[in-house]
Amino acid sequence: MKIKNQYYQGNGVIPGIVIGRAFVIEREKDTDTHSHIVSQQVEIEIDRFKNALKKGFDELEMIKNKISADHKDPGHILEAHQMMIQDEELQKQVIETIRHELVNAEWAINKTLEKWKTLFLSVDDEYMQERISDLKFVSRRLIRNLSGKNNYIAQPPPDAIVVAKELSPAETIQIGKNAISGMVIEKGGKTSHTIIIAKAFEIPTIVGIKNITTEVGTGDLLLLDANSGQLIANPDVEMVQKYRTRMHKALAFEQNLLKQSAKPAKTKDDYTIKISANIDFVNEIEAANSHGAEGIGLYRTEFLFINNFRDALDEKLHFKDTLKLLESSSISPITIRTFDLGGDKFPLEADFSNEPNPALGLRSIRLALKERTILKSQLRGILRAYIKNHSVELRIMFPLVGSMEEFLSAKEVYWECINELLQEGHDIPDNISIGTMIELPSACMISDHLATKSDFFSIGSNDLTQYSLGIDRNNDMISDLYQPLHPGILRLIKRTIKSAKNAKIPISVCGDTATDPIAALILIGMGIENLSMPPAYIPHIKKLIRNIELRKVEKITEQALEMQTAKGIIQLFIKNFEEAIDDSRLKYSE
Amino acid sequence: MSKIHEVEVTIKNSQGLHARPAKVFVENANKFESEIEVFHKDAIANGKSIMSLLGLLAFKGCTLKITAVGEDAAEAVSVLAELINNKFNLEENN
Repeated sequence: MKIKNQYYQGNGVIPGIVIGRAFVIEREKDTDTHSHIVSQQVEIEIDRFKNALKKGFDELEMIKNKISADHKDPGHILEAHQMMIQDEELQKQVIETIRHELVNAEWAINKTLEKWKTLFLSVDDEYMQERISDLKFVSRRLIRNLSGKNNYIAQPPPDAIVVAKELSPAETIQIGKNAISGMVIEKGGKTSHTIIIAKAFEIPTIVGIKNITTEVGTGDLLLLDANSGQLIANPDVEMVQKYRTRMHKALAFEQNLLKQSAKPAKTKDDYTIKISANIDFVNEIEAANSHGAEGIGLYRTEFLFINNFRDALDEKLHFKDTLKLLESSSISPITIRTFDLGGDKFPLEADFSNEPNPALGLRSIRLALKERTILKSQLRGILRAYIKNHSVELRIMFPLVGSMEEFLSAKEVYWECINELLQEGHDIPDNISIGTMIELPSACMISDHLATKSDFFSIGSNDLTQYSLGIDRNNDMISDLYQPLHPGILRLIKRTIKSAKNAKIPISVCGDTATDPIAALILIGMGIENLSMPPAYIPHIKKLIRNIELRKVEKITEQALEMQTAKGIIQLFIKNFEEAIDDSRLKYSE
Repeated sequence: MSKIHEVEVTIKNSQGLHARPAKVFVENANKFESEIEVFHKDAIANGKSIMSLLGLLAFKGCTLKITAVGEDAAEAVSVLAELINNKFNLEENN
């Protein structure tokens, strides 16, 4: 008999309350089963290897038969993997390794693939990682076949609550398509890319419950309350009933909010704050519209690269994507951020980086300026789409700018594209703004200079917090020290706002900070008139703003800026705006 | 002994000789009886092995030499060169 009402506390990172059956994604450890063999065993090992090859090929064939013919690319990739499995050179080398080094098939496969991996790593090319992951996928499949382990990535049934130790962004995309109702992930920070994807799918998610994959089993009934971060395994009838009531209340609250969300966010004293949406995929425009977004404040283009990595250099990819965005949007402006890859956001599973410190490494605008051809393909694609359809205002911004030189170089690439397009006979619409994303303390400190060359600023609060505090937002051990309202950060933001106002350029904040009611109030109190956030939060923040007086918020913010700790600042705001803050959040009555 | 047929061709597709293009190359090479080899700088690859082709580390802009020996060697080199010129028939619908 299972223990009833077993409580676990984690961090709710995507809000929602759901009831469902657990679906535990178990991944057996790929243990090294390396062993030496004696010469009499050589033929047996070779046979084992050949059987594993055949099985691997057949497995891929089965998966291939299941995908529809429209999916040409996945088909090609599966066929390429099949061809690798059948490859004579590969087989020859593995068999030779078994024969001459007297090692078992598993070891021989690893040794052989290690050689290829070393070869691929010897050149600097953006496609190499994919070759290495191709190899890894193929070799994992073969080794699992040798050990008799299961090779299928289990797909959760609809309405399941997926429980996993860790999920890659790619796996999350796969799982997110299955209409699951919730996720519990052991590892994963609030702002990791996995979570950002889950947000796009609006999957209620809790992270940070230790050993949860062994604590609950597939089929267990779970109550997942991502609003409070609480998970209850095997609840009894009363508990389920209680939660059903909560869910209905929460739902009614949400529906009521949604009804109001199309209206502007006007404070009691008649100031309007513009609320825009952050999106990762073009089809999120729908969610942005239905949640009352008044513009797109941040379109992250990374997923375009992740999903089409091989074609990222092709400007047609960017042309088609931007055109789709422009055609499906009636809200303006649309803000596109050029690709922000590297660091924790590299698209591929394999450990891309041999850099000792990727967060401080070759990423974002640094990578773009080093790989100008990629940046140019993206900019040209965006511009060509805008030439075709310029019914809304377009804003383009560069991420992680740290110096004037960087911003000017990026702008130079932009002008190169413009000149090329002019020479090719295109008319360029004149309502394009080029802006700087302010994500580094250095950028805040030189914001007065940057403002002279930028058409707008957008503060990326996640990275700004991480880089100012020197705290990895994904590290569970220190994530409690990650304080977006740290007085030091508020000063940096304040300085940046002042620079923007002096130069008379618009400034907005995109990033998760603005989803927190207290942070939103402080930002508004410091003079921010534009906030951008994931669509799901827009109705809440709009409601908050309608309940406050800007003059009062400004007064309290002034006091807050004199305070020494984030805790003190938070308390000050709760004291003064408790009702409005509470009202914008979900409330339950027991 | 049959004559060696050879042709030099420059890679035009953005991904270079990557998994999908290499796959298409091998599929086409396998249509011929001839022995096919592909050269890039100092490296030589068996034109009918995807792993060996991937190991050439050939990107966009690299020049490859394709050689074929056998009955259908002349046709093989011309078909394979055209395939590379046509970006492996992979990007035309983008």
